[in-house]
Amino acid sequence: MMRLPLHDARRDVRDIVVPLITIVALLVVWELAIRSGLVPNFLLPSPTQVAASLVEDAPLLFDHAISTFGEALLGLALGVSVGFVVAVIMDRFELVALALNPLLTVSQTIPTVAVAPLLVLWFGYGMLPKVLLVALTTFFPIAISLVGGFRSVDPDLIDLMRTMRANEWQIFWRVKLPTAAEEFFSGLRISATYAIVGAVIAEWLGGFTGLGVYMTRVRKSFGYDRMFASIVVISACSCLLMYAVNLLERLCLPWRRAERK
Amino acid sequence: MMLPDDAGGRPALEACGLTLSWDGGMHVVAEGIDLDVHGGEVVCLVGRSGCGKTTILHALAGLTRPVRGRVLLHGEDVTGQPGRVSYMLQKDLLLPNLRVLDNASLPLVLGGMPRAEARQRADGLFARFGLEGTQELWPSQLSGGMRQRAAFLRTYLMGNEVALLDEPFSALDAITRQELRTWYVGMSRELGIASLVITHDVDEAVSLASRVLVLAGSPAEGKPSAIVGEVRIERPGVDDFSITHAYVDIKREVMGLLGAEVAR
Ligand SMILES: Nc1ncnc2c1ncn2[C@@H]1O[C@H](COP(=O)(O)OP(=O)(O)OP(=O)(O)O)[C@@H](O)[C@H]1O
Ligand SMILES: [Mg+2]
Repeated sequence: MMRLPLHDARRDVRDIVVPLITIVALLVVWELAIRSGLVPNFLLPSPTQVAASLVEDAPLLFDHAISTFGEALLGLALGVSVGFVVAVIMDRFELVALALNPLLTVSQTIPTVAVAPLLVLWFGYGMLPKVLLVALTTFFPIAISLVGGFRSVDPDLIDLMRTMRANEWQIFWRVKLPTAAEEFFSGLRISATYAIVGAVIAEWLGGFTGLGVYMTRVRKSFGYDRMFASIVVISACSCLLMYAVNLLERLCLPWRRAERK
Repeated sequence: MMLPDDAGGRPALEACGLTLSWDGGMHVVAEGIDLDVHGGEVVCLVGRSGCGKTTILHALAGLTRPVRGRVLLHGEDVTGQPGRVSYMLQKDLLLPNLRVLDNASLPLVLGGMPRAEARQRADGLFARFGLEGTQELWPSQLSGGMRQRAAFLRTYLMGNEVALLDEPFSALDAITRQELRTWYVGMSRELGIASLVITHDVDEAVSLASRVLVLAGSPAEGKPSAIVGEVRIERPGVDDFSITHAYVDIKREVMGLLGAEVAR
């Protein structure tokens, strides 16, 4: 990370202001491009039009967002849990790791869009296929990052714990888990971005609520400004989830903050 | 004078004919290692880098099983049983996710003591170990020397009668090092702890130990190491032993043992 000789407060302000200016500048250019006729309006709505439909459909979008967010969160929780258990087992039993490794990698090459219709076929239009799809896509980064994290533990540290008569469980809890925590959170950050997108893709293929359902509806009525509005909401949901992950990381790894200083 | 409390009695720690290898005997690091350490005594193990000092300590700590030979603790066979002797490894190995006080008190907590009580017990020793004020810091906020002191305190709190120390003073400045050495010799004699200390600093060995064991060989080239000599150090009653003729003679003897192997 780059280090600039600025005071913390000033750096904080700068960290917010600089990206904000970029976004605003981008929106202004976009707006001007539409207003001036450089880009035809029927191809692309202007930011103000998108904002207008965002406001207009706010209650509806909110409801859909809630169900998408719920599916994503549940799927993520399921994916993380399964990923965690698989990683622990793979770490504990080398043979299982050998057996599962190729399977895991192959499972990751299967495109989400290809699995989603199958899940809908098997589990219907309810919440279940969405949650399962999210779990399927989020599980992998978690399992891989945790396995790598467990493996990165200094063997001398385990020896030290053994000389202090620590049992397997104490070694896991006090050494392996904290060491893997850092890599776990980078995996979780990736999973969190997959989660919302996974839920939306599952909703495209059939369902009653959710931002994906909203999108298919407005696409059929050529409501491109609404389409963009839903994209904004999806981004916002992803950002919110990322923010929650960062917050959780800071809470769970307080010693990391001391290290950066 | 410098004689251990139970001189002539059963040693606290004994190694009998250890043959050590990291791969089950294909490639032998050390062979025929016999040594003993009595309560209250500090014995130094010196040798060149890579000759197998750490390998020996690992086996004595019960972390690895020797290909041949036994490790006895007060006569009891503890070969391959970790947790019976205190071991300070070559790296400080503080857990980055625990505050210094929690790191130091870890052996007590692992032994089943409630956390608050363990912290209190460790806290009482912070000043004595030169760690005052660092209790609530993270290890990453400590200097190398402070980290080593914390590792020292943790080893001390393992509370065993035998301590194995792998270059415990290496990250300290010359003055602190001298102080801590003097303190360590006093403390271990007072508490009757039997210490086996690795160093590759001959001066350190001579000023610390009542006996120096010299390990020589080059396991990397297929020549297993062995203990090639033992030098007893009888300290005359002078304050600064390190400027006496006796000291220089002993140092020359140890150096000779270390060098003799190389000349061949
Ligand atoms: N954990 C290990 N696994 C496999 N081989 C090892 C291990 N530790 C040490 N060895 C090998 O054993 C031999 C002796 O190494 P050791 O670490 O015991 O030397 P040392 O005398 O402690 O050296 P130094 O003074 O540099 O610490 C070396 O050839 C080394 O490669
Ligand atoms: Mg070593």
